[in-house]
Amino acid sequence: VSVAIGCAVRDRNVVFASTFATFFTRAYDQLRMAAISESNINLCGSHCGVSIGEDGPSQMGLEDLAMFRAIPTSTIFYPSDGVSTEKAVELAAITKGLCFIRTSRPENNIIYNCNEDFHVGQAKVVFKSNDDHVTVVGAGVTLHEALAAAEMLKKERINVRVIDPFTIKPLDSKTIIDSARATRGRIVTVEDHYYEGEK
Amino acid sequence: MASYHKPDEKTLQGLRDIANKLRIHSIKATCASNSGHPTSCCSAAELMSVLFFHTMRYKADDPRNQCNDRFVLSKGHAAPILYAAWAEAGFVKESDLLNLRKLDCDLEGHPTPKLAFVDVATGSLGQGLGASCGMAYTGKYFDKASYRVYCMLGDGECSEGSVWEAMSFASYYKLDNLVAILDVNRLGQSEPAPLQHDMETYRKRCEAFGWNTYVVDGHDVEELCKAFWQAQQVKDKPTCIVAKTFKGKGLKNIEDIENWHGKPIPKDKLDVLKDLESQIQVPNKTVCPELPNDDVAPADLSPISLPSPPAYKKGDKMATRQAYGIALARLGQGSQRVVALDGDTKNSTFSELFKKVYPDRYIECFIAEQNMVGVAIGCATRDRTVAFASTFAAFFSRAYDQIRMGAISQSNVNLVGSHCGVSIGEDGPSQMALEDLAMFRAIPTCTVFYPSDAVSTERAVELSANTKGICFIRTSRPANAVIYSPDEKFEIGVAKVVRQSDSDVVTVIGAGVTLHEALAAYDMLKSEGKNICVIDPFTIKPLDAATILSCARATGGQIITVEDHYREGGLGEAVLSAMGGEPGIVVNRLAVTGVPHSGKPQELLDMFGISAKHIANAVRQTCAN
Repeated sequence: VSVAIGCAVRDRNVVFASTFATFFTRAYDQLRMAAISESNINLCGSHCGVSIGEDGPSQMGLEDLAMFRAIPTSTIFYPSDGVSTEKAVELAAITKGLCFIRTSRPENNIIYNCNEDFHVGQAKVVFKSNDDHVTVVGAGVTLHEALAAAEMLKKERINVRVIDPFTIKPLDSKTIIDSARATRGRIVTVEDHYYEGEK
Repeated sequence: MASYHKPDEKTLQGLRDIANKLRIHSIKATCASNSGHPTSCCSAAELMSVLFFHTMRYKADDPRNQCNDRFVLSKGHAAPILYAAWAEAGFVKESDLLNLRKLDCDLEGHPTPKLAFVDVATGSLGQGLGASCGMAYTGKYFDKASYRVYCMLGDGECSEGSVWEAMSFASYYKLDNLVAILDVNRLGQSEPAPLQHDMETYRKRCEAFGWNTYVVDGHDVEELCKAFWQAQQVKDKPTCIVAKTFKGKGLKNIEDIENWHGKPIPKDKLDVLKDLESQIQVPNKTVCPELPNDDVAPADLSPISLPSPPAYKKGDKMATRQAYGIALARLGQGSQRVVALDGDTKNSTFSELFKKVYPDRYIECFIAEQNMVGVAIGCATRDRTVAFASTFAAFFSRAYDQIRMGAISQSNVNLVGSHCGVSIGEDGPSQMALEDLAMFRAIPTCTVFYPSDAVSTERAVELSANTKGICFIRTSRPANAVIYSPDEKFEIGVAKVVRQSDSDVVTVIGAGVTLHEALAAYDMLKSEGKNICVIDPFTIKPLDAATILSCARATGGQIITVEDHYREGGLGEAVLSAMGGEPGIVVNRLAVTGVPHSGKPQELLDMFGISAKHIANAVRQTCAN
């Protein structure tokens, strides 16, 4: 992380540093200081959550959203498919401050068209009907779990609206609140992360 | 000096046979799970065989016995060979090895202390040696026992700085009961390790760090037996066995070839098992490890108390960081097991007060926070000590991975971070902890104390000593008034309502310096005829949601939180999260909103919106709406 910060000073490079999301905890002081340094580095952490499987908890990122949210100047991307991941990388390169992109190990479906527009702080409503009862917000693997749940519930005549936040920070509170109002104030969030410090 | 007796050929062949059995177990297990790291196990087979069946002294049926030699597999991904060794020793059922990495089996992908023979979880590399230093320090200086500590590292993981922090620490403290074994198998995960098989550079680096060093053929059991024996004869220096090995050793067309990291042996290459089996000369031999000396008593687990109530009067001014030092020194009377560590900040964190009274129970870790946390975790294993490690709260971010792994290790370590928030003043943001509550809240098993005065700080220290899991105590630099009487009782998850009337307009929750700001705001507002309820949470995790909710309902659902921390992940979000399901509760969060600046403490509290004036304004605003 320090080398990345050094490479990025005086705008000499646009830097992307990657490792398993959980191993960025090893560099938390460097990340904290990066914000004080007004650095524009981009970090990509893979293998988030329990969804990595057999390797077990030492390899699972379960506190990284808490960690990065608490860094001033940070933007947190949590793209849910291949298309939005590419857009996240493109946006990170041009966004000032620390950018963190959280990626997953399992393969999941592409859910966006290649020409879909993405913006920092703009969520996508990926499943809806005219009479939704609950708003479900998921990201990464849990967005796909939410879509699966939506299909299951549809069969039981329960309609849910599913939102993909795209960026956890800044969070598109307007879209979420609008959706919540349409679903009688009910929101369920689901994340492959610990309970605390989360969205 | 004792003279070396070479083991006889039968013994040596027995060790070779065990090494091959360990290879076979590792391959079969990772095939059964279709995941894992067999080639990383194969390079370590002779090392494990000699350690477990020749060198180490331990009770195989009581792996966690306090007298045993300790073994830490810092290269935790070689877990299958660790499990195989304990199967050969008779503790793990051989058939269970095939349940590796399954949901209902404790033989996980990387070792955790759900298993009795694992003291610290590994898997995040570069952390085993720090913990081993803690165990060795404890053995040599606290327990004064004969047990030895063995830590096996990979070569790839030697790129981690934390390894070299531990190397410095071990030689500085003359840990001659510690042996590090480097399994230099040349290959990392995605490409060769930087030094490959440049053994001389490894030797020079280890010697430069003050270690007694042997470069050996890591697959020659005779050389290994001798090197481990020699290590036991050397005083005042830890020993490093730098073992030249080959990743996938013993596996034709796989040995020493790139791109085999983390891959089970495929079905079409399983003839390697026959090769290995054919090399075993005495298949049914079992080897019993030698027993350790019985020179350590089990830990005394009785509760630890302060010897007398805190000696403060309401209104006395005392910084909670100083109260911590006073408390720890007093707690030291309560038990011999209480020990303290610090990272060259002992005159700022006040851990020096403990050192003055108990110099033999204080470990100076110098400016190496990753290692300090690792050493503390190591000291606390097998309940040998109740460890308190302190530094500036901001610098615990340096050790966040160690803290994270500490939770997976089921550690009971206590961490005390001073100089929280903008209230430290002129030193500026690099020294200010503004994300530590977020950091510690996200750690499972963690209790987060944020005492607001000296009395509650002493009780926080006492509670931490007796609370399982990781305990974090957040202390402040400025001196603030004592607000509780010495006989006030404190409990985890129990907030104190410090101001309340039957006409409160808003519930204000603050902690540390902001609790005092809230009390000042209370006085300001009272003079305007407005009453507020003021709550001191005492612990941010667990949070006393019931008390907060009941006060909030009495104030029309209106809550204001105020913290010397960033907006994300701290007190405000903890309250929001706790109130999330409750209808009609509105939480207005005051917090530090951007990277702060140098300045006087009170100026900074004002500038960043968390001073009494801002709290009072927020209350007035709430009333107006």
